[in-house]
Amino acid sequence: MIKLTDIDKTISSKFQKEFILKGINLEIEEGEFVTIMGPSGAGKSTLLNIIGLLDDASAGQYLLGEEDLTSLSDKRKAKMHKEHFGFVFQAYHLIDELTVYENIETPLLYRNVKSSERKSLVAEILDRFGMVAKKDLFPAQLSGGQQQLVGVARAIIGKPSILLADEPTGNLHSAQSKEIMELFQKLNDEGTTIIQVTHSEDNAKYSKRIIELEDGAIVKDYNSQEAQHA
Amino acid sequence: MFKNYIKIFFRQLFKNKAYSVINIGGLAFGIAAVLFIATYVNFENSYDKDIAASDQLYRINLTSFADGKLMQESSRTSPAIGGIAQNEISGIEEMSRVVILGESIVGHNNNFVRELQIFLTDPNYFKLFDIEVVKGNTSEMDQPLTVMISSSIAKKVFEDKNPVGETLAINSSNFDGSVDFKVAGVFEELPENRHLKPQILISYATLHHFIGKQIDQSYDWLNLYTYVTTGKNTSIEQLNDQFNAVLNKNYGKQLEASGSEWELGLQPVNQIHTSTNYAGEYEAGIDGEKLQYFVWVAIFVLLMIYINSINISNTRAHNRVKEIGVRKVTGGTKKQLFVQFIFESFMINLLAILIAALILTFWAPFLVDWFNLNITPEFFKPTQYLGILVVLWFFGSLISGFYPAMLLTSFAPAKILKGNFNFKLKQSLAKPLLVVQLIFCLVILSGILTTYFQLDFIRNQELGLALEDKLVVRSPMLFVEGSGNYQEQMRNAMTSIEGIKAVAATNEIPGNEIYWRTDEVFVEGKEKGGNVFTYLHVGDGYFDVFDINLLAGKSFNTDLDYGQEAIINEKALQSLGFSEPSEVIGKKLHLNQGAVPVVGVVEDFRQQGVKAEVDPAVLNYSPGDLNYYVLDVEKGKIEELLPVVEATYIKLFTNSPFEYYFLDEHFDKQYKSEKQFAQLFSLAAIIAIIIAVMGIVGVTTQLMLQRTKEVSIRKIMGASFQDILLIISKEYVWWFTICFAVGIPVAYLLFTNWLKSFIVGIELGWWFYLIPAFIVVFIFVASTLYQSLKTALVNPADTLKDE
Repeated sequence: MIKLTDIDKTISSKFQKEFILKGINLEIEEGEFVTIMGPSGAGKSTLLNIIGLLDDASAGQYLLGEEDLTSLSDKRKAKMHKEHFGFVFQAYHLIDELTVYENIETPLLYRNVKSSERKSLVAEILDRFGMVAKKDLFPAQLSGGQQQLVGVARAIIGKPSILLADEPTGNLHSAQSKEIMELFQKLNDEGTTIIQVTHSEDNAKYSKRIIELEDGAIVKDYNSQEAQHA
Repeated sequence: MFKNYIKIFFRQLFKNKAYSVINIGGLAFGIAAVLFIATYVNFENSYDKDIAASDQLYRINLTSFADGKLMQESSRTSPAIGGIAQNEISGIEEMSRVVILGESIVGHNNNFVRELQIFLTDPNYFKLFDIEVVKGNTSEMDQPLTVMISSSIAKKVFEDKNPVGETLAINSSNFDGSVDFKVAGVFEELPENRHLKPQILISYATLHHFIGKQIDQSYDWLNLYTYVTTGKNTSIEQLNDQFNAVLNKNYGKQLEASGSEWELGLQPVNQIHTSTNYAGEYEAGIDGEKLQYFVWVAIFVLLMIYINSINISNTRAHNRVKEIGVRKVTGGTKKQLFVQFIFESFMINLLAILIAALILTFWAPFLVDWFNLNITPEFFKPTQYLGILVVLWFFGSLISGFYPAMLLTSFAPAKILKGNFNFKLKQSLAKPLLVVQLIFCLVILSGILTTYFQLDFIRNQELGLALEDKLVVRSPMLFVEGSGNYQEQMRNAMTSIEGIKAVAATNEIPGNEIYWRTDEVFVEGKEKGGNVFTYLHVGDGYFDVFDINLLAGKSFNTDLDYGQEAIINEKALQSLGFSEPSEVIGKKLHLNQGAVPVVGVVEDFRQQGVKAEVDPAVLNYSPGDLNYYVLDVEKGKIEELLPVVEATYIKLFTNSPFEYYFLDEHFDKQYKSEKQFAQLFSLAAIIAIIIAVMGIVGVTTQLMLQRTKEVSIRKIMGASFQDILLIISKEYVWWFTICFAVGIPVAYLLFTNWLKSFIVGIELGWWFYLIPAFIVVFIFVASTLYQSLKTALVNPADTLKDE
């Protein structure tokens, strides 16, 4: 489904070109749950951003299914975001001025979903996440774990085929982390492709495949469950 | 989606209350000031435009030359010109002549009032000027001794009685006493924005009654206004050519003989109020060019408030960064985000114009009063400026919203959401805009300084007249025939009061125009110069009281009766063809009423200050009743003596109200439009500066906050408090350099040009720029001091831990 071929990401300053990613070749099938791991500066987030079209690769080709996403206009990118991607961030990134309900509703507004349908979709997800009572609260009134739940709800309400998560539990304590990871697993079971970046070995265990990056290159790519059994 | 935008907008608004108040308040006050200026300019431009055929209505003006040299451009013509218009020019439809009667006392059955706006005119005037008759009709206005009165005069004089058919007595020095008129009708009060606002219109036939019908043949009785209506689409140039050809045919020889040349020209009536080129206007208009300056001031204020708004949006940008990132990754396009921020700008501007309209509604009456403006309240009705509001809303929203929207939507979501995005204000236009605001402040401050010094300069010009410590008392409003000589009674009674040095009687006090003008003045054996002379009756001691220098000859012989001798000024001396004052003494001066000897020549004195050129003047002695009595009071005693003077006056003239002025204050009134200009300009300028200061505080606070980390690190490296202040202020020095380099030339060009519109103007010295520059630096330092010190005094331990 996702096919990256010879992807490079460089930043050029006056005198030199620095590689952040170099020669990445990667295929991720529909329905996979992939964890990208590696030390700081390895290029994990950059890779995730390129997959999520938040950043452009400097060289190489990016195919999503049959579609070439290598260089898209802003408008096409916005369309792809609407149709295919959901994002979960370490810092939750909820809009402070909007309530829980309104934050979750935002992606639907950009998808021109009718008001009545929006209401039922948001209600459904609030119910599923057990947050009905909190729907009128503002982000500042929630705990970190609750904020991240809203973040996830917002990411998946548009029914994206791919969920991208950059350190989704980085700001949470272990019980909250577990809750989010179990949610991810459940979403994956329901068919959502999930790609997460994490430092946490525990979180990585929830995924089926682990890709390890070092200095911008893939050094290991293995099935996490098999590795555990081995 | 818009519901979502509105929610976000209002929540942002209330979350950042201080910034919202600065932003919306700045816009609202600025817009209110601009609306006020616009209303003022609109009002001044509206004169005579309500007349139905306003675009076909013209006044005939006269430009005179002597020996090829321009002498005068005058709004007044002679009766024969009206005759030409009526009979000899094709393309003229109607004609009307208006003669100023001047101030008179009018009344009925012992109910008297003093009235200024009295004119003589023909029935056509009502048609040409679209005057509604509410009682009676104009048909009798072709009869002598007939008047039409305004509804307010009707109320004042006749109270509830129907005035039509009643008698109105008018006591005027021009009639040499009181004359009875038949009231033919009542007309609707004229609006304030008319160049003539007659209260009483006497039939033109009355002029024939007093001085004979032959006056209509006169070319040199240059004493009236002639108005005409033209056919639609008539070429004015061709009409002017026709007029001058006929004038040349009828009167060319006489003009040539006196070495004069005349040129007639039509001026649209609706432009009379905004042109100040013509002498002899009844009411001082306002210089159209000065109105243009107000338009510039308004544009200045608008730029200032929009720049301020842009800067405030920029300083708040970091608050919106996360939202932008989230919106982008959830599928919002750049266009949608742009629309959202422009929408917010529209909302902010909408709130601002609503508040501005409120401010204007409540403050306009106060401001009108304060600035002593004539603007009538209906000009402040919201419907009057709705158009401007809509335009300001639309363009203001785009101007103040466009750049921030572009800036905000340009942020890349990957950086924002990764959490390492740190929006630096210095990446935006904030600093250049701040420098622009400083430049504006400098220019505006130079403007205030220039206008005030110019005003002060023209008010303190050498006039050749002493105005201080003079109390003016109006002549008594009594109609008793043969009641004796008021001048003598006044002099005797007032000079007996201790502290009053002398009393001088005159028909016109300094500051007022002398309406009695004639060009029928010449000395035997010399040719008529073709100049228009003013003619004034004064009483004994006039020259002493006003401290007017006698250059040759002596003062009047007070043993003689009315008008037996003449004293002239230097201008008159030249116009009569003499160079030395002594040469003219004893020569017979021919005036309308006959020839009298010139007994003295006085230095030129400025009857109307520096606004009008000094006219050639002839002064006659009159021992009889004159319009004003000027009391020369010992220094500083004027307030103290006022009740004594009043008591003395009441004792003398029991039934007449005591009316008085302080002469210096009265004289100052003629600078009303200059004063208004200075005041209005200052109001707009001060608002602009306050707004700029708010902007400077907002931006520099943000800039300083963003430098906290840098300052903390420098401190750890060993920088002292002084080092830090130096680093912080180094940048300011650059800003000021740019500000002065741009602002001073701009101010110089603007204000030297403005000063050209005055007869006498000040020289702009270096300090006109140095003082504003100093004030700009002071304002800036004062408004940034707190934040600069706070940044310089920061404790690195606190700030670096946060990072």
